[in-house]
Formats: sequence, C-alpha cells, structure tokens
Amino acid sequence: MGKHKTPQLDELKKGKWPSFVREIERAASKSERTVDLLGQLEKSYEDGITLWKHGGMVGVRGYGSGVVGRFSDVPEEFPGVQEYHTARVLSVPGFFYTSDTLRKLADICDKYAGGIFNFHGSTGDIQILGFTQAEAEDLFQSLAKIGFDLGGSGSALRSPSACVGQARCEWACYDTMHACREITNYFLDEVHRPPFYYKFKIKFSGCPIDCTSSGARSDLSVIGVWKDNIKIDQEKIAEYANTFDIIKYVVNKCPSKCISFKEGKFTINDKFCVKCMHCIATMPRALKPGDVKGAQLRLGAKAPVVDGPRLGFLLLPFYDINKDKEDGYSYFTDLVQRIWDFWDEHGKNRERIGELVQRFGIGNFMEEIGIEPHPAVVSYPRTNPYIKFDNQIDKEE
Amino acid sequence: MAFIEFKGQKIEVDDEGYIQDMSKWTPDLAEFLAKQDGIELTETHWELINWIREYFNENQVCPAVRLVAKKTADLCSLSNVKEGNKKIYELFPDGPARMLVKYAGLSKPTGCV
Repeated sequence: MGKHKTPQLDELKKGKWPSFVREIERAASKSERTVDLLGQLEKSYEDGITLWKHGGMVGVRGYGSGVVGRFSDVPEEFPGVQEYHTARVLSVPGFFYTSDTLRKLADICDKYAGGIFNFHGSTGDIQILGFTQAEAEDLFQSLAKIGFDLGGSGSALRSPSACVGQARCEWACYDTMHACREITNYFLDEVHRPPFYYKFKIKFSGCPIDCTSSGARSDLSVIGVWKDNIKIDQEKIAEYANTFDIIKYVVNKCPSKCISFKEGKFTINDKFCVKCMHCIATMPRALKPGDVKGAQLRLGAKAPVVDGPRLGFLLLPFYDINKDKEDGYSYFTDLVQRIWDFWDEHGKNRERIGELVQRFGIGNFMEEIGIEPHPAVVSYPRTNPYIKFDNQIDKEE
Repeated sequence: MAFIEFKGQKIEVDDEGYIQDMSKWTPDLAEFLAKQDGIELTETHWELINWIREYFNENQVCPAVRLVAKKTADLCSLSNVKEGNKKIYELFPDGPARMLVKYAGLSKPTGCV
C-alpha cells in the first residue's frame, strides 16, 4: 500500500483463496485511515501483541449500546486509527438483502467509516468499522434513513438472530424469521438501553441442527423440534441402501441407538430419539421430521469469560411456538420477562443467567419463574441415598 | 494527556473527558462538564450523582447499570426498573456511563459497555 511496509501481511495474500488483507487493502485504496489499519496490524504482528485499547465510551444520543469503541494504543504512529469504532447494526432475520440495500449500506460505510464491514459479526449484526465519535451521529442518522437501526452491545439484550428458517429450509419447525423480528421489536428498549447485569442473547434455530449455534452461544436458545415420530419412506431408504452402508453411516451413529435396519426395513424407536437429526441429514429424501412441530427452549449457554463455557440446559422440552405466533408470542415474552425479573432480583454484576441458575439451583429457579419441571429435563435420576423423608414420615404418622 | 481549564486551574482528563484525579472533583465542576454537553443539572440529576459517588466510595467500582435504573425508578416514583432505565436516557441522553459517571468525577467504567 506504499505508506507502510507490510511484509507479514503480504504473506497472507498468497494463494487463490479470499484474503482479509486483500479486502482491507481494497478498502484502504479509498480510505486514508484504513491504510493505517494495515500499518497497525503489521506492527502488532511484529510486536506479538494487539495494539487496541479495551473498550471506550462512545455512542449516539439516546442509545446506550450499538457502538463499540476502538482506540489505538499507538495513535502517534497511526493517526488514522486513533479512533476506529464499530457500529453494530441490526441485521435482517435470515440475512436477506437486496443488492440495492447492500449498495446503500456500502455507500454509508464509505462515507462515514473506514470502508469495511464485518458481514456479519458473530453476534449476528452487520458491523460497520472505522469511524470516529464525531461521525457516529451522522452515520446513525443515515442508517435510519434507509431503515436500519443499531443493535445491542454491552449489558444489553444483544441483537437476536435467526437461521434462514422456513424461507429456505425444509426442516424448519417454526417461522424463525418471523419470531426473531417480532421478539426484536418487542424488546427493542432492552436492545438499545442496556438494563442488565451483563449481556443476554436470544437466538432462533428452526431445527436441532441449530445453524445459529444457539445451543452453545445464546443465553436463551429457541430450537425447533417435533413431538411425534420421524416420517420414514421405506422405498427411498432402499434407494439409499444401494448407494452406501446404512448400518455403518446411520444406525451405528445414532447416539441413543434407537434405529434398526433389518431385512430392508428401517425402524426408529422414537421414544428414545434425542432429535440429533443425524439420520435425517444423512438421508434427507427418506426421512423427515414429524408433523407436530414446535420448539424447545434452552437456557444459559455462554462463552468462557468469567466462569467457564457452558451449554444451555433444557428449560422447556416442547413449547408450541406455532400457536404462540398467533398470540403475538405473548407466552414467550412473558416467560423472558419472568427470567429477567429473577435475574434482576438475584443476579450479581457480570453474572450471566446460566451462572446464576447454577448458583441458585435449577429446581429453585424453575419454581421462581413458575415452570413445572418435566421428566424430560432430568438427565438422570438422583443417585444420592441421603434424602430427607420428613414430609413422608409426617404423613404416615 | 488532555486538560480542561476550570476556574483558573488545569484539570487532567483522559481522551474521553473523564477527570483523572478524583480529588479534584467539585459540584461546580460537575455543573461545568454538564453545561458543555448542553445539560442543566436538576435535583434528580444531583441525587443520582451523589448516590453514585457514595456507591463508588463504598465499593471502589461503578454500580451495574441495573442498579442505576432501580435507583432512578425509586427517585422518580416509576412503576418498574424498565421505566427507570428509560428515564436515565431522558436525564442523561448519552447514557449513564458517558454522562452520569463523567459528571460524578468517577473513573471510566470498564468492560464492553
């Protein structure tokens, strides 16, 4: 790029595949400040440390979230990245954009920022990179003019995100995009003005394959499931049997060993099915999810920060989200509010809901938010023999 | 390091205008900082500023935003924390971290806020 020598970055441009260095260079050809981004990155490779300061107080008027501050540690050397903030912009559920919309977004990104995007960040937001606090308000207003709003950051409800759902996928058990849009609109205050002890994420996946990885990285994951039996087409099974070894690739891979394939007949003991979808995904023409569709709710997944990573636990094994859709998701929003009220009352600063529930006990938590435990949420029965039988003894007396 | 001129003395602030030496804080300085953002401090503003300073002195850390919202709801007799949280943005339009904390002369909150 001329201004800075970047031998280490140049290594990352080699090969036929896309390169982030090449993309940043293309942005830098139009944006002076992005030239310094390349320079700073090269320097951080040389020094072996990142040269960004953590956090910073940036934002737009009326919102407490949506803009993430990035300040350079070496602004004298790279003045262009002294302030190089990130805007989180609420994405469209399912990530559908017209090319015209993309061009408008790109024009805004060129005009007010460093000319580069994260499309999308792992939060599910469109991220516009490289603007200063002085430009933030104009950037925000021009986004609003084309119908985009800022998303969540900090101790807010982070921008909910959804898989492509019924728009493009045969397995979606509910309308993820509709749910995501409605829930986002309902809780927009919580997105824009951080009200919690720490972040809270909701993600919507249409089936247990979980394309948004909600089960591992959202505090509340809504995952489509079915309640009845997997639909089997034996003729199509026979066709698959001619092309690969069903015993080896399907039956033996079933985690709950509930499939059998004998004398050309494929059967599933659905009682023991854990809905991993491996068999359906391996033989999509022969097997289909059942007809009684809804969603399960899992709570408390998070990344390692503070207390170690965790997966969500099953809160509701089956919730009729398709019926709730007709009621404007009132059951769902009510439940979320009860969870937040519980968090509000018992939580500590920087404690995610999953950590709080662990500290408090799942049983106590479910009692407080008014959910009856279901046998399906118990992974195995209690093995500890030291149980008090006071109540029972009293009754007998 | 940047400085602001106030009543003839130079007060050291960081890049974002937070004062560095908490002992330099005076109520007049809070009024002065607020005025720069075009905000006239009312009684409710002051109750929050005094409360957050007390909290900081006790805990050596800024309160969670949830507590600020609760306090605001209490002060303004609002029905719930949610309303309290909205009210904060009426009082401090740039948000509690960027205005309330700055005017109270406390150190910048950490974390991804």
